[in-house]
Amino acid sequence: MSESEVSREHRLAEVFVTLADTLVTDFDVADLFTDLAAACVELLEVTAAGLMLVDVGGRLRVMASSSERSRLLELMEIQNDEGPCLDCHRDGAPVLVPDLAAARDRWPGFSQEAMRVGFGAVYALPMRLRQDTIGALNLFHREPKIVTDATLLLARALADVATIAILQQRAVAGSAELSQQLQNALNSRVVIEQAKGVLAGRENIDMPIAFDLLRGYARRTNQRLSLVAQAVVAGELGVDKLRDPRARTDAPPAT
Amino acid sequence: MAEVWPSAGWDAGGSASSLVGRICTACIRSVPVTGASLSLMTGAGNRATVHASDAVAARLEDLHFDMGEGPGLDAFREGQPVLVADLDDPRDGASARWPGFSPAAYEAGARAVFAYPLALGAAKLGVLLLYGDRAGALDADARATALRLADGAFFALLDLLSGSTSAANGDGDREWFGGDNAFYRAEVYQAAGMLTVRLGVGIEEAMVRLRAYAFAHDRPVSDVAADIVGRNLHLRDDNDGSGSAGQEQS
Repeated sequence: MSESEVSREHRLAEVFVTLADTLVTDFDVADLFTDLAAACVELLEVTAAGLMLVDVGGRLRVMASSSERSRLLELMEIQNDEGPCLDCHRDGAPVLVPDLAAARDRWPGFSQEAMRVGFGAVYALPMRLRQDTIGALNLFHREPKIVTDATLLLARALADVATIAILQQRAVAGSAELSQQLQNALNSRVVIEQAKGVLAGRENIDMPIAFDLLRGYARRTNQRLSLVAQAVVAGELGVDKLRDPRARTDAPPAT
Repeated sequence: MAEVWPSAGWDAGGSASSLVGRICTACIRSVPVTGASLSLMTGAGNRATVHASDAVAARLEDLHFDMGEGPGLDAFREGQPVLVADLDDPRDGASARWPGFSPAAYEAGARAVFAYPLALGAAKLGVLLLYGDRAGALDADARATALRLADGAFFALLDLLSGSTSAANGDGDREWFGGDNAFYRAEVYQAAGMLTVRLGVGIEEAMVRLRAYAFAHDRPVSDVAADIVGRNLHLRDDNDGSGSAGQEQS
């Protein structure tokens, strides 16, 4: 085994330990999905990753994306109602597109836009729960690329972690209602976006910095991210409190 | 309504109430319940029943506010549905949880009560209250349908409060269900958050103002939101429901 394979295996174990640890605590599903998307990029050696969930109306919605580029592409796919992630969700089966150029006939709009923004391959894996498909894990790669079976297996495991996370949310403990669990997960994302907006409006900071403030505070104080976000939107928690007192006091650079 | 939503183009009569009436009718048709009502609420305790399908439904709304308790208020506060399959069954705990409301609701003829918050993220507009004249839980399909109707009711209320008539003029279910993927973009929520600061309003009113502006200018709400997030558009704090705005000099 090469050195890079050893370090990847080590990193893989670390990520799964972290995910498993999270699942037995009072975790926030939107927060976990953000981590999952990042873990996919790292472990699966893809350029970008995103997670979509189905809402009460049966529509897919973007829950997390590792990059702005993949997020916009996923939004466009939902808006135009055409693309591999939607097919994956509809059929409940993986959709593997190692070369987008060869998929122009199947998804003309999606392939064109995906290649325009710099993706050559896409893999969509269903998030399955018994007979339901509740979402999709989408992986994007810069160049056309055939993924190995080992990578696909790992991707499936990460999609399963996302599914388990939906079932494990604290907010609906005791309720087995899948549609409510999905609704809560999507709502937690909405509250976080609203809170980012509040912070950006108050402080003239960009959204990623606003997110880091929320998440940093949630982790330091051991609170769920969406509860912190709720307090921010309600005006109960200001920027001064969110800032890490241990960090340097000068303002973050304006970007 | 004026005191609840001072700056929204709310018209308590005509199309507004008939749309909400249609939502309540849809609930009765597609969920096995006897009646439905819908009330607007604010965190500060202001409320208004917009529609009640029958006298019992209207009484249940009144009881909530006479007693200051009940499944509807809990659903609003917790942001989660509160489902009571049998008001009279101690295992459901209704009489212990709402000692004033429960016996009075039973007296009024209700046996089961299902309350769904109308909310999107931290923005809470009101509650959809369903009741049954016989005890019994909703099955999984009925609960999913009720959730979907509550989701649609949120957007219908948002449209009504913002003075946009697309929903009020619409027929059937489609319009109630948002039908507009543009609303699910992160920018829309971020822009609403920014507007709370700019306009000094709550998140609910910020969403109403954003919707009103998009409607008045015939633009997708996601486009308007992207401009606000990109700091290229500033809605003015001029409190006129038409949502006038100034373009920022760049």
